[in-house]
Amino acid sequence: MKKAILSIFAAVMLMTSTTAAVNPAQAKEFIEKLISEGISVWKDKPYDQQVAKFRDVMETKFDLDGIAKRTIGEKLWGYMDVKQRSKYVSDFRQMLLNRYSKKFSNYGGQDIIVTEASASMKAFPIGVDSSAPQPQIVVTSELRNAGGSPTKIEWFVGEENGKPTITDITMAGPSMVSTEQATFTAIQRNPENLKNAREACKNAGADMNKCVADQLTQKVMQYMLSAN
Amino acid sequence: MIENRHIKSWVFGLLMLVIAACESPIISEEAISIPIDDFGTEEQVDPLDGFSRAMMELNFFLDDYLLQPAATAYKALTPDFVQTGVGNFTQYVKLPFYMANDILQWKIDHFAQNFWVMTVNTFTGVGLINGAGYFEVYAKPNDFGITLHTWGTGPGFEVTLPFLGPTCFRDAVGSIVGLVIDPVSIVANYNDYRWANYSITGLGYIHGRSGYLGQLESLRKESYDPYVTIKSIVDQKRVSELKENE
Repeated sequence: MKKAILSIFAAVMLMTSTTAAVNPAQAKEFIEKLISEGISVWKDKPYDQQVAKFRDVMETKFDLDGIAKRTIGEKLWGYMDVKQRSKYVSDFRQMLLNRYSKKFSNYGGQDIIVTEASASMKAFPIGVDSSAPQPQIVVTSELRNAGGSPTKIEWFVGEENGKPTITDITMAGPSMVSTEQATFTAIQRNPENLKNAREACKNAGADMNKCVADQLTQKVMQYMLSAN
Repeated sequence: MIENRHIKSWVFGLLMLVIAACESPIISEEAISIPIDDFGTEEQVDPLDGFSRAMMELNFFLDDYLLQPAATAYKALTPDFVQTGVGNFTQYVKLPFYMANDILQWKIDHFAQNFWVMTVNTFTGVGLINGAGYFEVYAKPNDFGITLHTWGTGPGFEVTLPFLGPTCFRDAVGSIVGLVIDPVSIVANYNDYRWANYSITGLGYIHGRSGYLGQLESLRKESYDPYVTIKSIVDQKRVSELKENE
Protein backbone atom coordinates (compact mmCIF):
# COMPACT_ATOMS: atom_id res chain seq x y z
CA MET A 1 0.00 0.00 0.00
CA LYS A 2 2.79 2.38 1.03
CA LYS A 3 4.65 1.51 -2.18
CA ALA A 4 1.56 2.18 -4.28
CA ILE A 5 1.03 5.61 -2.67
CA LEU A 6 4.69 6.48 -3.22
CA SER A 7 4.46 5.40 -6.87
CA ILE A 8 1.37 7.55 -7.44
CA PHE A 9 3.08 10.49 -5.71
CA ALA A 10 6.18 10.05 -7.88
CA ALA A 11 4.05 9.83 -11.03
CA VAL A 12 2.16 13.01 -10.10
CA MET A 13 5.46 14.80 -9.37
CA LEU A 14 6.83 13.68 -12.73
CA MET A 15 3.70 14.83 -14.54
CA THR A 16 3.61 18.24 -12.88
CA SER A 17 7.33 18.78 -13.52
CA THR A 18 6.79 18.45 -17.28
CA THR A 19 3.67 20.65 -17.38
CA ALA A 20 4.00 24.29 -18.37
CA ALA A 21 4.00 26.49 -15.32
CA VAL A 22 1.86 29.13 -17.02
CA ASN A 23 -1.31 28.21 -18.83
CA PRO A 24 -2.32 29.60 -22.26
CA ALA A 25 -4.87 32.02 -20.76
CA GLN A 26 -2.28 33.51 -18.38
CA ALA A 27 0.30 33.78 -21.14
CA LYS A 28 -2.22 35.47 -23.45
CA GLU A 29 -3.19 37.95 -20.76
CA PHE A 30 0.50 38.67 -20.06
CA ILE A 31 1.22 39.50 -23.72
CA GLU A 32 -2.00 41.47 -24.19
CA LYS A 33 -1.14 43.57 -21.15
CA LEU A 34 2.41 44.07 -22.41
CA ILE A 35 1.06 45.31 -25.75
CA SER A 36 -1.75 47.49 -24.43
CA GLU A 37 0.11 49.04 -21.50
CA GLY A 38 3.55 49.07 -22.96
CA ILE A 39 4.19 49.03 -26.67
CA SER A 40 1.03 50.87 -27.76
CA VAL A 41 1.35 53.60 -25.13
CA TRP A 42 4.93 54.68 -25.66
CA LYS A 43 4.83 54.76 -29.48
CA ASP A 44 4.23 58.55 -29.45
CA LYS A 45 6.97 59.27 -26.91
CA PRO A 46 10.35 60.83 -27.89
CA TYR A 47 12.97 58.38 -29.16
CA ASP A 48 15.16 58.44 -26.02
CA GLN A 49 12.17 57.67 -23.82
CA GLN A 50 11.10 54.84 -26.13
CA VAL A 51 14.57 53.26 -25.92
CA ALA A 52 14.67 53.65 -22.11
CA LYS A 53 11.18 52.17 -21.75
CA PHE A 54 11.96 49.24 -23.99
CA ARG A 55 15.16 48.48 -22.08
CA ASP A 56 13.06 48.38 -18.93
CA VAL A 57 10.53 46.01 -20.52
CA MET A 58 13.27 43.71 -21.80
CA GLU A 59 14.96 43.57 -18.40
CA THR A 60 11.75 42.79 -16.52
CA LYS A 61 9.67 40.71 -18.96
CA PHE A 62 12.31 38.69 -20.84
CA ASP A 63 14.38 35.73 -19.61
CA LEU A 64 17.58 37.42 -20.80
CA ASP A 65 19.91 35.10 -18.85
CA GLY A 66 18.22 31.99 -20.22
CA ILE A 67 18.31 33.44 -23.73
CA ALA A 68 22.06 34.10 -23.32
CA LYS A 69 22.66 30.51 -22.21
CA ARG A 70 20.61 28.98 -25.04
CA THR A 71 22.18 31.25 -27.64
CA ILE A 72 25.77 30.25 -26.94
CA GLY A 73 24.91 26.54 -27.12
CA GLU A 74 25.63 23.65 -24.78
CA LYS A 75 29.20 23.04 -25.92
CA LEU A 76 30.58 26.54 -25.33
CA TRP A 77 28.49 26.99 -22.17
CA GLY A 78 29.63 23.63 -20.82
CA TYR A 79 33.32 24.45 -21.17
CA MET A 80 33.15 27.86 -19.50
CA ASP A 81 33.71 28.26 -15.75
CA VAL A 82 31.44 30.28 -13.45
CA LYS A 83 33.44 33.50 -13.89
CA GLN A 84 33.49 33.23 -17.69
CA ARG A 85 29.76 32.46 -17.80
CA SER A 86 28.97 35.43 -15.60
CA LYS A 87 31.05 37.75 -17.82
CA TYR A 88 29.47 36.35 -20.99
CA VAL A 89 25.88 36.64 -19.66
CA SER A 90 26.52 40.23 -18.56
CA ASP A 91 27.99 41.17 -21.98
CA PHE A 92 25.24 39.36 -23.85
CA ARG A 93 22.48 41.08 -21.84
CA GLN A 94 24.08 44.42 -22.64
CA MET A 95 24.31 43.58 -26.33
CA LEU A 96 20.66 42.41 -26.50
CA LEU A 97 19.41 45.47 -24.65
CA ASN A 98 21.36 47.85 -26.89
CA ARG A 99 20.40 46.11 -30.10
CA TYR A 100 16.74 45.26 -29.59
CA SER A 101 15.66 48.35 -27.67
CA LYS A 102 16.76 50.40 -30.70
CA LYS A 103 15.07 48.01 -33.12
CA PHE A 104 11.75 47.91 -31.27
CA SER A 105 11.80 51.67 -30.93
CA ASN A 106 11.53 51.82 -34.73
CA TYR A 107 8.12 50.18 -34.45
CA GLY A 108 5.72 52.37 -36.40
CA GLY A 109 2.72 52.14 -34.09
CA GLN A 110 0.71 49.58 -36.09
CA ASP A 111 -1.91 47.62 -34.19
CA ILE A 112 -0.78 44.31 -32.69
CA ILE A 113 -3.68 41.94 -32.12
CA VAL A 114 -3.26 38.80 -30.01
CA THR A 115 -5.10 36.00 -31.78
CA GLU A 116 -4.48 32.82 -29.76
CA ALA A 117 -2.35 31.06 -27.17
CA SER A 118 -1.56 27.36 -27.02
CA ALA A 119 0.95 24.87 -25.67
CA SER A 120 4.11 24.88 -27.81
CA MET A 121 6.09 21.85 -28.95
CA LYS A 122 9.20 23.71 -27.74
CA ALA A 123 10.61 23.42 -24.23
CA PHE A 124 13.41 25.62 -22.85
CA PRO A 125 15.24 25.75 -19.52
CA ILE A 126 14.58 29.06 -17.76
CA GLY A 127 17.45 31.15 -16.39
CA VAL A 128 21.03 29.89 -16.17
CA ASP A 129 20.81 27.58 -13.17
CA SER A 130 18.18 25.19 -14.45
CA SER A 131 18.91 22.62 -17.13
CA ALA A 132 15.43 21.02 -17.10
CA PRO A 133 13.45 22.12 -20.16
CA GLN A 134 10.15 23.80 -19.30
CA PRO A 135 7.28 23.46 -21.81
CA GLN A 136 6.42 26.81 -23.34
CA ILE A 137 3.20 28.55 -24.27
CA VAL A 138 3.18 30.19 -27.68
CA VAL A 139 1.09 33.36 -27.94
CA THR A 140 0.32 34.28 -31.55
CA SER A 141 -0.31 37.87 -32.56
CA GLU A 142 -0.59 39.84 -35.78
CA LEU A 143 1.04 43.13 -36.65
CA ARG A 144 -1.52 44.86 -38.86
CA ASN A 145 0.24 46.59 -41.74
CA ALA A 146 -1.62 49.32 -43.62
CA GLY A 147 -3.13 47.80 -46.75
CA GLY A 148 -1.10 44.58 -46.69
CA SER A 149 -1.18 41.15 -45.09
CA PRO A 150 -0.56 41.08 -41.32
CA THR A 151 2.84 39.99 -40.01
CA LYS A 152 2.73 37.05 -37.62
CA ILE A 153 4.53 37.50 -34.30
CA GLU A 154 4.90 34.57 -31.88
CA TRP A 155 5.82 35.11 -28.23
CA PHE A 156 7.17 32.10 -26.35
CA VAL A 157 6.26 32.36 -22.69
CA GLY A 158 7.60 30.36 -19.76
CA GLU A 159 7.55 30.87 -16.02
CA GLU A 160 10.23 32.19 -13.69
CA ASN A 161 9.73 32.70 -9.95
CA GLY A 162 5.96 32.43 -10.36
CA LYS A 163 5.78 35.07 -13.09
CA PRO A 164 5.47 34.70 -16.88
CA THR A 165 8.64 35.48 -18.80
CA ILE A 166 9.35 35.78 -22.54
CA THR A 167 11.87 33.20 -23.72
CA ASP A 168 11.86 33.91 -27.48
CA ILE A 169 10.06 35.92 -30.18
CA THR A 170 9.58 35.06 -33.84
CA MET A 171 8.60 37.62 -36.45
CA ALA A 172 7.33 36.29 -39.79
CA GLY A 173 9.28 33.08 -39.12
CA PRO A 174 12.80 33.94 -37.91
CA SER A 175 13.36 33.66 -34.17
CA MET A 176 15.46 36.05 -32.11
CA VAL A 177 17.34 33.22 -30.34
CA SER A 178 17.90 31.06 -33.45
CA THR A 179 19.28 34.05 -35.36
CA GLU A 180 21.75 34.89 -32.59
CA GLN A 181 22.60 31.17 -32.22
CA ALA A 182 23.69 31.05 -35.87
CA THR A 183 26.56 33.43 -35.08
CA PHE A 184 27.94 31.21 -32.34
CA THR A 185 27.57 28.08 -34.46
CA ALA A 186 29.36 29.82 -37.32
CA ILE A 187 32.27 30.97 -35.21
CA GLN A 188 32.88 27.42 -33.97
CA ARG A 189 32.87 26.15 -37.57
CA ASN A 190 35.07 28.88 -38.99
CA PRO A 191 38.49 27.33 -39.72
CA GLU A 192 40.36 30.62 -39.26
CA ASN A 193 38.73 31.32 -35.87
CA LEU A 194 39.45 27.80 -34.64
CA LYS A 195 43.05 28.00 -35.78
CA ASN A 196 43.59 31.35 -34.08
CA ALA A 197 41.89 30.22 -30.87
CA ARG A 198 44.05 27.07 -30.78
CA GLU A 199 47.21 29.05 -31.40
CA ALA A 200 46.33 31.36 -28.51
CA CYS A 201 45.61 28.35 -26.28
CA LYS A 202 48.70 26.27 -27.17
CA ASN A 203 49.91 26.03 -23.59
CA ALA A 204 46.52 25.61 -21.94
CA GLY A 205 47.14 21.87 -21.39
CA ALA A 206 44.19 20.13 -19.76
CA ASP A 207 42.02 23.26 -20.04
CA MET A 208 42.20 23.43 -23.83
CA ASN A 209 38.41 23.19 -24.30
CA LYS A 210 37.80 25.90 -21.74
CA CYS A 211 40.44 28.14 -23.28
CA VAL A 212 39.18 27.69 -26.87
CA ALA A 213 35.58 28.28 -25.75
CA ASP A 214 36.66 31.45 -23.97
CA GLN A 215 38.65 32.71 -26.98
CA LEU A 216 35.75 32.11 -29.40
CA THR A 217 33.13 33.65 -27.11
CA GLN A 218 35.19 36.72 -26.35
CA LYS A 219 35.83 37.28 -30.05
CA VAL A 220 32.09 37.34 -30.84
CA MET A 221 31.13 39.43 -27.82
CA GLN A 222 33.82 42.05 -28.40
CA TYR A 223 32.54 42.49 -31.94
CA MET A 224 28.87 42.50 -30.98
CA LEU A 225 29.30 45.04 -28.20
CA SER A 226 31.36 47.37 -30.38
CA ALA A 227 28.93 47.11 -33.30
CA ASN A 228 25.89 48.29 -31.31
CA MET B 1 62.32 -14.03 -66.23
CA ILE B 2 61.58 -10.41 -67.21
CA GLU B 3 58.33 -10.57 -65.24
CA ASN B 4 60.21 -11.78 -62.16
CA ARG B 5 62.61 -8.85 -62.36
CA HIS B 6 59.64 -6.47 -62.58
CA ILE B 7 58.00 -8.04 -59.53
CA LYS B 8 61.26 -7.79 -57.59
CA SER B 9 61.63 -4.08 -58.40
CA TRP B 10 58.00 -3.40 -57.37
CA VAL B 11 58.46 -5.23 -54.06
CA PHE B 12 61.71 -3.35 -53.43
CA GLY B 13 60.03 -0.04 -54.20
CA LEU B 14 57.14 -0.79 -51.85
CA LEU B 15 59.53 -1.84 -49.11
CA MET B 16 61.45 1.43 -49.44
CA LEU B 17 58.18 3.38 -49.25
CA VAL B 18 57.14 1.57 -46.08
CA ILE B 19 60.55 2.18 -44.48
CA ALA B 20 60.43 5.85 -45.48
CA ALA B 21 56.91 6.17 -44.07
CA CYS B 22 57.98 4.58 -40.79
CA GLU B 23 60.98 6.89 -40.49
CA SER B 24 59.04 10.12 -41.12
CA PRO B 25 56.70 11.28 -38.32
CA ILE B 26 52.98 10.98 -39.20
CA ILE B 27 52.11 14.08 -37.16
CA SER B 28 54.24 17.20 -37.42
CA GLU B 29 56.08 18.56 -34.38
CA GLU B 30 53.85 21.63 -34.42
CA ALA B 31 50.68 19.56 -34.37
CA ILE B 32 51.93 17.51 -31.41
CA SER B 33 52.53 20.67 -29.43
CA ILE B 34 48.86 21.71 -29.77
CA PRO B 35 46.65 19.84 -27.30
CA ILE B 36 43.49 18.25 -28.64
CA ASP B 37 40.11 19.90 -28.03
CA ASP B 38 36.50 19.05 -28.88
CA PHE B 39 35.88 21.72 -31.51
CA GLY B 40 36.46 19.54 -34.57
CA THR B 41 38.64 20.04 -37.62
CA GLU B 42 39.75 23.27 -39.20
CA GLU B 43 38.35 22.21 -42.55
CA GLN B 44 35.48 24.00 -44.25
CA VAL B 45 32.24 22.02 -43.76
CA ASP B 46 30.28 23.62 -46.62
CA PRO B 47 32.03 22.98 -49.98
CA LEU B 48 30.16 25.91 -51.60
CA ASP B 49 30.96 28.31 -48.76
CA GLY B 50 33.46 30.36 -50.79
CA PHE B 51 31.16 30.67 -53.81
CA SER B 52 28.11 31.52 -51.67
CA ARG B 53 30.00 34.21 -49.76
CA ALA B 54 31.19 35.76 -53.03
CA MET B 55 27.60 35.78 -54.34
CA MET B 56 26.39 37.38 -51.12
CA GLU B 57 29.00 40.14 -51.61
CA LEU B 58 27.76 40.58 -55.20
CA ASN B 59 24.18 40.89 -53.90
CA PHE B 60 25.32 43.48 -51.33
CA PHE B 61 27.00 45.41 -54.17
CA LEU B 62 23.84 45.28 -56.32
CA ASP B 63 21.78 46.36 -53.34
CA ASP B 64 24.13 49.23 -52.44
CA TYR B 65 24.23 50.65 -55.95
CA LEU B 66 20.85 49.71 -57.44
CA LEU B 67 18.04 48.50 -55.21
CA GLN B 68 18.66 50.51 -52.05
CA PRO B 69 19.01 53.92 -53.82
CA ALA B 70 15.90 53.18 -55.91
CA ALA B 71 13.92 52.12 -52.82
CA THR B 72 15.10 55.19 -50.87
CA ALA B 73 14.01 57.52 -53.70
CA TYR B 74 10.68 55.67 -54.05
CA LYS B 75 10.01 55.99 -50.32
CA ALA B 76 10.96 59.68 -50.25
CA LEU B 77 9.19 60.80 -53.40
CA THR B 78 5.88 58.94 -53.36
CA PRO B 79 3.01 59.58 -50.93
CA ASP B 80 1.85 56.78 -48.62
CA PHE B 81 -1.34 56.03 -50.57
CA VAL B 82 0.71 55.49 -53.75
CA GLN B 83 3.01 53.08 -51.90
CA THR B 84 0.01 51.21 -50.50
CA GLY B 85 -1.48 51.01 -54.01
CA VAL B 86 1.79 49.73 -55.48
CA GLY B 87 2.05 47.11 -52.73
CA ASN B 88 -1.52 45.98 -53.36
CA PHE B 89 -1.14 45.87 -57.13
CA THR B 90 2.20 44.02 -57.21
CA GLN B 91 0.66 41.35 -55.00
CA TYR B 92 -2.58 41.35 -57.02
CA VAL B 93 -0.73 40.41 -60.23
CA LYS B 94 0.88 37.48 -58.41
CA LEU B 95 -2.47 36.01 -57.36
CA PRO B 96 -2.93 33.88 -60.54
CA PHE B 97 0.54 32.42 -59.89
CA TYR B 98 -0.38 31.66 -56.27
CA MET B 99 -3.61 30.02 -57.45
CA ALA B 100 -1.81 27.95 -60.12
CA ASN B 101 0.43 26.55 -57.37
CA ASP B 102 -2.57 26.04 -55.07
CA ILE B 103 -4.06 23.82 -57.78
CA LEU B 104 -0.77 21.98 -58.37
CA GLN B 105 -0.64 21.27 -54.62
CA TRP B 106 -4.39 20.56 -54.52
CA LYS B 107 -4.90 23.14 -51.74
CA ILE B 108 -8.48 24.03 -52.59
CA ASP B 109 -9.01 26.13 -49.45
CA HIS B 110 -5.95 28.27 -50.28
CA PHE B 111 -7.12 28.54 -53.89
CA ALA B 112 -10.57 29.70 -52.72
CA GLN B 113 -8.98 32.28 -50.39
CA ASN B 114 -6.76 33.71 -53.14
CA PHE B 115 -9.65 33.63 -55.63
CA TRP B 116 -11.80 35.57 -53.15
CA VAL B 117 -9.04 38.17 -52.64
CA MET B 118 -8.61 38.56 -56.41
CA THR B 119 -12.35 38.89 -57.06
CA VAL B 120 -12.94 41.47 -54.31
CA ASN B 121 -9.81 43.48 -55.16
CA THR B 122 -10.70 43.51 -58.87
CA PHE B 123 -14.05 45.10 -58.11
CA THR B 124 -12.85 47.47 -55.38
CA GLY B 125 -10.05 49.05 -57.38
CA VAL B 126 -8.51 46.85 -60.10
CA GLY B 127 -6.03 45.50 -57.59
CA LEU B 128 -4.91 48.91 -56.34
CA ILE B 129 -7.14 48.79 -53.27
CA ASN B 130 -7.08 45.82 -50.91
CA GLY B 131 -10.82 45.52 -50.42
CA ALA B 132 -10.50 41.93 -49.21
CA GLY B 133 -8.44 43.24 -46.27
CA TYR B 134 -11.62 44.96 -45.05
CA PHE B 135 -13.04 41.46 -44.49
CA GLU B 136 -9.73 40.41 -42.90
CA VAL B 137 -9.04 37.98 -45.72
CA TYR B 138 -5.55 38.22 -47.19
CA ALA B 139 -3.65 36.66 -50.09
CA LYS B 140 -1.87 33.40 -49.29
CA PRO B 141 1.50 33.50 -51.07
CA ASN B 142 2.63 30.36 -52.82
CA ASP B 143 5.42 29.42 -55.24
CA PHE B 144 6.75 26.53 -57.25
CA GLY B 145 9.43 25.73 -54.65
CA ILE B 146 6.60 25.02 -52.19
CA THR B 147 4.89 22.92 -54.88
CA LEU B 148 8.05 20.83 -55.31
CA HIS B 149 8.25 20.46 -51.51
CA THR B 150 4.60 19.30 -51.44
CA TRP B 151 5.41 16.74 -54.12
CA GLY B 152 8.11 15.34 -51.86
CA THR B 153 11.24 16.98 -53.28
CA GLY B 154 13.99 17.51 -50.70
CA PRO B 155 15.83 20.83 -50.41
CA GLY B 156 19.11 19.59 -51.93
CA PHE B 157 22.33 21.55 -51.42
CA GLU B 158 22.33 25.12 -50.15
CA VAL B 159 23.75 27.90 -52.26
CA THR B 160 23.61 31.69 -52.54
CA LEU B 161 22.77 33.03 -56.00
CA PRO B 162 22.81 36.51 -57.56
CA PHE B 163 19.45 38.30 -57.07
CA LEU B 164 17.88 35.24 -55.36
CA GLY B 165 20.12 35.29 -52.27
CA PRO B 166 20.54 32.25 -50.01
CA THR B 167 18.42 29.38 -51.30
CA CYS B 168 18.45 25.64 -51.81
CA PHE B 169 18.60 23.70 -55.08
CA ARG B 170 14.85 22.90 -54.99
CA ASP B 171 13.83 26.54 -54.49
CA ALA B 172 16.30 27.77 -57.13
CA VAL B 173 14.70 25.38 -59.64
CA GLY B 174 11.30 26.50 -58.34
CA SER B 175 12.15 30.16 -59.03
CA ILE B 176 13.19 29.42 -62.62
CA VAL B 177 10.13 27.25 -63.33
CA GLY B 178 8.00 29.89 -61.61
CA LEU B 179 9.05 32.45 -64.24
CA VAL B 180 7.82 30.11 -66.97
CA ILE B 181 4.49 29.05 -65.47
CA ASP B 182 3.35 32.43 -64.11
CA PRO B 183 0.00 33.04 -65.90
CA VAL B 184 0.46 36.84 -65.89
CA SER B 185 3.92 36.51 -67.49
CA ILE B 186 2.56 34.10 -70.10
CA VAL B 187 -0.28 36.47 -71.06
CA ALA B 188 2.02 39.53 -71.05
CA ASN B 189 4.65 37.83 -73.22
CA TYR B 190 2.03 36.44 -75.62
CA ASN B 191 0.49 39.89 -76.11
CA ASP B 192 3.82 41.66 -76.42
CA TYR B 193 3.52 43.38 -73.02
CA ARG B 194 6.86 42.19 -71.71
CA TRP B 195 7.83 45.75 -70.76
CA ALA B 196 4.76 46.01 -68.51
CA ASN B 197 5.52 42.67 -66.89
CA TYR B 198 9.18 43.58 -66.25
CA SER B 199 8.20 47.05 -64.96
CA ILE B 200 5.71 45.60 -62.46
CA THR B 201 8.24 42.99 -61.33
CA GLY B 202 10.91 45.68 -60.88
CA LEU B 203 8.49 47.93 -59.02
CA GLY B 204 7.60 44.99 -56.77
CA TYR B 205 11.28 44.54 -55.86
CA ILE B 206 11.69 48.27 -55.13
CA HIS B 207 8.49 48.38 -53.06
CA GLY B 208 9.51 45.26 -51.15
CA ARG B 209 12.98 46.68 -50.43
CA SER B 210 11.48 49.98 -49.23
CA GLY B 211 9.75 48.03 -46.46
CA TYR B 212 13.01 47.26 -44.69
CA LEU B 213 15.21 50.25 -45.46
CA GLY B 214 17.83 50.61 -42.75
CA GLN B 215 17.20 47.12 -41.39
CA LEU B 216 19.48 45.30 -43.81
CA GLU B 217 22.14 47.97 -43.31
CA SER B 218 22.06 47.62 -39.51
CA LEU B 219 22.04 43.83 -39.83
CA ARG B 220 25.18 43.98 -41.97
CA LYS B 221 26.82 46.34 -39.50
CA GLU B 222 25.85 44.52 -36.31
CA SER B 223 26.37 40.92 -37.39
CA TYR B 224 29.64 39.24 -36.61
CA ASP B 225 29.21 37.29 -39.84
CA PRO B 226 26.47 38.89 -42.03
CA TYR B 227 26.54 35.93 -44.44
CA VAL B 228 25.64 33.48 -41.67
CA THR B 229 23.05 35.78 -40.06
CA ILE B 230 21.24 36.52 -43.33
CA LYS B 231 21.36 32.86 -44.36
CA SER B 232 19.90 31.85 -40.99
CA ILE B 233 17.06 34.41 -41.28
CA VAL B 234 16.23 33.35 -44.86
CA ASP B 235 16.32 29.64 -43.90
CA GLN B 236 14.04 30.17 -40.89
CA LYS B 237 11.63 32.25 -42.97
CA ARG B 238 11.46 29.54 -45.62
CA VAL B 239 10.83 26.81 -43.02
CA SER B 240 8.01 28.95 -41.64
CA GLU B 241 6.51 29.44 -45.14
CA LEU B 242 6.60 25.70 -45.81
CA LYS B 243 4.97 25.04 -42.42
CA GLU B 244 2.29 27.70 -42.99
CA ASN B 245 1.43 26.10 -46.30
CA GLU B 246 0.92 22.61 -44.91
